[in-house]
Amino acid sequence: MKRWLILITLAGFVEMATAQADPQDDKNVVVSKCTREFRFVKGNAEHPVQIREESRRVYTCKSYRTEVQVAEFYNDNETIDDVNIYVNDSKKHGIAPRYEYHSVDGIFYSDARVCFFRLPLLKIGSSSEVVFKKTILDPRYFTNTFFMDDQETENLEIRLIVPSWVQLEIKEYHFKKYNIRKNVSQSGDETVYTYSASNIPSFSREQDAPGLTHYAPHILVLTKSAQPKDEMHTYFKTVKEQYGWYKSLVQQIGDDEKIIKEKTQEITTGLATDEEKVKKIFQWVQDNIRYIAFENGIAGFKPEKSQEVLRKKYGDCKGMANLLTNMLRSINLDARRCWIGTKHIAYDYSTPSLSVDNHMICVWMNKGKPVYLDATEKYIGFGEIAERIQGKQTLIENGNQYLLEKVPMATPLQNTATESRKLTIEGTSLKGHVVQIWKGENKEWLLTALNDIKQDKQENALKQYLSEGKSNFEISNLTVKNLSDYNADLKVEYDIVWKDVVTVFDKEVYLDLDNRRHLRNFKIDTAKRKLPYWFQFKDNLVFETEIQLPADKTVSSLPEKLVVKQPGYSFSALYSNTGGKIVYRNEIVLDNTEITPESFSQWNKDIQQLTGFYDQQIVLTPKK
Amino acid sequence: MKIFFLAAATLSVVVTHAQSKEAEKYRKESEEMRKQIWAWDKPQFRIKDIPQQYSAASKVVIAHHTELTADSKSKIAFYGLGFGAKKEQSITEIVREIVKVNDKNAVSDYSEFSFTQFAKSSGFFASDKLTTYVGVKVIKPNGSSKEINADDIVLTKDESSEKRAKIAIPDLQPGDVLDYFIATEQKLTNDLSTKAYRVLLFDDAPILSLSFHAQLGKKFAIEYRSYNGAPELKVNKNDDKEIIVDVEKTNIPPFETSLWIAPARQLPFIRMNISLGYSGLGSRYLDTRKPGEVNKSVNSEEALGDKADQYSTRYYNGYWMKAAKAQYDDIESSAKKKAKQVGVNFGSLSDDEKAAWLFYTFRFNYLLNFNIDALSETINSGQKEYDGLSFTLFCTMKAAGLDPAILVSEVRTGFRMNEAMDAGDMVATAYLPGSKKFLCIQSIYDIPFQQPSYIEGVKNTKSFTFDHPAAIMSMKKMSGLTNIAPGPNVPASASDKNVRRENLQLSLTDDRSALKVKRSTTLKGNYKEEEQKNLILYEDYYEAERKALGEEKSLIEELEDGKKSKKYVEEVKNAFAEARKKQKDAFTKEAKEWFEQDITDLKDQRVVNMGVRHTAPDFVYSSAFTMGGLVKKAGNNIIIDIGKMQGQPLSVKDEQRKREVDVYMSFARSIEYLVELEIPEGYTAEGVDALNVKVENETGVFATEATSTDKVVTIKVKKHYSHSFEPGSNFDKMLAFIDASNNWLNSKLLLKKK
Repeated sequence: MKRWLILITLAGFVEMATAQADPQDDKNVVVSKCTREFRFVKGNAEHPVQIREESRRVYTCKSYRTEVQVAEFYNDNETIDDVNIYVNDSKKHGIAPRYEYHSVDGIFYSDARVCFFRLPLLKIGSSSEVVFKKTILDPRYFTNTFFMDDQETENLEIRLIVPSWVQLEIKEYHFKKYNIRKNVSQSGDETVYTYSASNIPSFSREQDAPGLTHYAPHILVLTKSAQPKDEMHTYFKTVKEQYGWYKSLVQQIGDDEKIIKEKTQEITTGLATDEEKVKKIFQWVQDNIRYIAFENGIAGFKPEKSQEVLRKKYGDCKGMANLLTNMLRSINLDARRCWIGTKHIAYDYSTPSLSVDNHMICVWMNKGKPVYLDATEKYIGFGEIAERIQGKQTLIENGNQYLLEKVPMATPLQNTATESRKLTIEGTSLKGHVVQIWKGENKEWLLTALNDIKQDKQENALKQYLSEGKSNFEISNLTVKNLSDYNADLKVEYDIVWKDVVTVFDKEVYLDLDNRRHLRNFKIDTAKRKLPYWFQFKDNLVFETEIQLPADKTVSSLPEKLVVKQPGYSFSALYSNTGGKIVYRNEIVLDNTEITPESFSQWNKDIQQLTGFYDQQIVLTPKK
Repeated sequence: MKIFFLAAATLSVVVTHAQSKEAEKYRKESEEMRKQIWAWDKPQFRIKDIPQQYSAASKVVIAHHTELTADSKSKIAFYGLGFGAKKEQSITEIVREIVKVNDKNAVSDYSEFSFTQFAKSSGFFASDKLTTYVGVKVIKPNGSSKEINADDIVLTKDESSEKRAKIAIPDLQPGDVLDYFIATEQKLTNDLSTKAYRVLLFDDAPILSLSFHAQLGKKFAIEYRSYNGAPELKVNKNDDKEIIVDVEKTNIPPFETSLWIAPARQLPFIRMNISLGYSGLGSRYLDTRKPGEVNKSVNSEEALGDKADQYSTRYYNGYWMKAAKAQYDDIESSAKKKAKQVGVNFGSLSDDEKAAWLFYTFRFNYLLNFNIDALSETINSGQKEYDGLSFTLFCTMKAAGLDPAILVSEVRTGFRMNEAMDAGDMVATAYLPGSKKFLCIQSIYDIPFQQPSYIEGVKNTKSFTFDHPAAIMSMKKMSGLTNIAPGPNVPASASDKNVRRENLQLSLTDDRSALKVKRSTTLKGNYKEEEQKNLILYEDYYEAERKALGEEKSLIEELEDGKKSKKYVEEVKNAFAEARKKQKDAFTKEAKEWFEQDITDLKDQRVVNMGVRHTAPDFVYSSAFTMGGLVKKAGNNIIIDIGKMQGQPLSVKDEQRKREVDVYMSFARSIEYLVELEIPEGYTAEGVDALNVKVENETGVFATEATSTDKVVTIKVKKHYSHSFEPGSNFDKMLAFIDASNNWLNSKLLLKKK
């Protein structure tokens, strides 16, 4: 089983998110001692090389008696052979571990299973111990081992016992901060790699953060080959072998070209250029194939037959990429399957391993130039690239060879969302016309949200979204363009009567034009947050308003302009007063989706400035 | 060694073989079931045209049919030491629906579903089994139809006692019609219990045809009732004396409003109680019906009788028996002792006062009781929920010589008293008939004499008391201990009894970019519990009760003094300290959620009065913090978005504004603010008069009163929902004050530079 990419509904617009963190300050229970030993052993004909793992964790109660949840995961390629539980050194505790299928959000079905139970810690100072014995049936699935646990670990030792008939390489990640010691010794025929460390903090559960491989101390084991008996078994010596294995799985798929060709021709009838055809096919797959993930045994690696995906109208990323590839190929276009690790994985193919990638897409080689197509991004346009794969290295099919390419980075302009208003003042209301346009991932986010709503409720829901649920922001004459053409920008136009936004005190008129206030008060809680903050995607948010001034009024006060420019982001906001109009323009640019802990303080200062700007009003006074 | 391996190998073959045999059996049964169901000759499943009015609907249920069959047979089976008649029932329910899915939302709704394919539970005599069969066809707009095959089913639990399965429906797209069924076969043994069954005649999607057909063996019996305008059952018997039941309804428009409704009182449905009739020995006590009987439930006498019987049994086992009563005597002794500790003579108290002492003693001894072996659970005892504890509270008072009774009534949003079909449709609440005061515990925060909101205003109640003969010699006597008498009407609380009152003292921060807030919040009545759960610490609550009940030592002191317990002290202190550390976050979270503004630098958080005693019933807490987002600079002047002090009041969405159905809310209630804004030196306040608003009618009020001096602007805001129920015709009146409150959100105040 492999944890492929989980496609979930985008969880929130940048303004709606809160940059909070879940504090992991509960140190009542610690793992006072953890030893994990991995030993390569000779297996059987089906699984000639196996890895036996024995993990021993002693949990100690530091503050007051409680229970902890213990969970150990396994799947078709890993077995749990034995579990021993000791509560205060005694095996008489009545705890019976439960074994269940483990359901993961967004995955329809997988072979993931979990063994779990609640472990009591009887009083302060007492300890309970859990020993798991597991077998990993194939070295390919023995990839990374993390040094962090759900609790802080006081003393940790990880041992790898490697016989001379196994060749491997161990890569170490994020050791610096944690004073992890390494020792290599020889014991007879075996090399023993020992890593020891003290006071390793628990996993951080912060939202909108990078994946574990970006920051958590761990080792990545790259098993190159093994010769337990006479026969030499080659694993992923280099990316060549990894590609070879993937290729061998692809060759076993059994795609039916005829069925695919018929469908493709039906879809592309009447289209002249290759690009038109690719666009049409890509959107057809986006529209017609539902993303449903199966991660069951070898099905976690081998794509489903494209005719089956076509018949069922659903598939996982591999199934969709394989279908798309075959559809393009069926009309003689150069399409390839691509393996790729999304942004949450820190590795690239310089470390050949099953943990490098978690996703599959298709690439159309347009006169040698790659055009990446990821149909699991249901509402992204042709040529637009989702943040999660931008800049990532991808392994592209190339017959018996392979290509390693980098998916290009997009600029924030790909995702520009613009709102333009032309308004007049009428009494205490602002009236006028609004045009909003969304591109790229902003468009995808909104379309995903809208399509989750029943069609007869969509207009109301859209109005509700545009008015931010405020009853004084009355929308009429709403038109929506390109709701189902993802290659064009999503555009809405409407008239508004924005009531009670103009405040008149005596003869002075006060106005607050910007109710969007992008990123207002979007501060990061530096006391709690330890990990970088990741926005969903690069962004460019433009908000413009033009207000016709009443003939009898003049501008008495306008907020000072704001310009913030930092590496990675910029904010600008400006009011101008020309020709009897006030023109306001606000632009937020996120060039980089990451705010690192080192820049939190600057970010917060800049957000404070932006918030201060928003908290100002325009003052109009009667003309003298 | 070899023999062992052989044995193991043989066993594993047998198991595998048994599994595959079981799977094969299931496959065959499943195939047979599909064949039968798809062959149904029902014209409603052949309708192709969707009425124009529903063309924009997300989905349209073309036909929904339920087929319920139950047969009964006696068979000789071996159990125990001899042969006995084993009653086995087989009940099959088939629900088939054909639905047009018009959009992606509907496709997503129907694209995956989970079911329990097989479940086996072991009863006392034999195992009961449940098997589910599923059939799904996707019909394309061109009329072509494809059926899913078994390969698309995956098991998410695969054990011999239970198999859970999932299907992803292939090739389902907007515009398709989905024809599917779920058939459940249940084999029950020796099960004479009544099975409740409901036919719902409403949905959030339009339904063109809804039907129900039941065919029950002659040994079954049915009791039924149609609710809220649902059609009557058509009941017949066939030549085999089997019971035939039909319900049909066509063209049911979608029911969409989810705001303030009481489904049991407003939506059409039919309830049936289906049981295996039995008129043999002991049937009276088993409460069985005669085989073949079909009765329309016309009143709630029988349900009330069942309730009375349940309470007779409870009374007999839980109070009449001396050993059971002893625990209530202990509560009384404990209450007397605690009263004495604080200089109160229990004997001289009025009945109401005694009841309150007993209530507090019971709560302290049983619900708040400190238990070192369940430390986390004890600290979180505020999160526990109880069912009102009517019987326990009744017995506690009775044992102390008071004259309590149990009020049996409807739930104000549940089935009406005269429409109850089941003892479970009625709720029980302990009360004192003399003073008509109620005692109910749903959480540790409940106080004596506050009736639970779910029975407020109910009439047509009954009052249970119990005979207490010196000897009970027969089952008949035991089951007839309950006396049923008319009960009192339960008063409804007024809006000024369920209150959230915010006292807010505001001043500008030094940089004049935000507000400094000193806040004191008072919650009354039904508004209290949620925040009490969030903000009160067990440690504070327990210590306060210890003092109130005359315990001289604090918990920690008592533990320290105990030979055995002193070793726990450090742990308890640690656990309490941990909980206290989290209390500040809870205060901040509560403030953020209420005001929906930027709350920072919260300090001085304090629970002023816990509101857990009837003598000091209000929950009062306070804190100070900085609130951002309401202060705007406007040239030299400052604008305060004062309307936003009320957080985000409830607003009624466009699609909810047209309403005919009656309005069922939880309780009458009010939200009030007293805001005092300090005018900074060098400024004057303008726009105060414009803040005054009043919209008042019989359903409620939104009113503000704003005044100012040179130094302070004072604003009183009140919003009252006058009743917990309003007829649908009053909804526009409700909208008037609800809208006024929303409009006031935009109110502003100008602080003008002098």
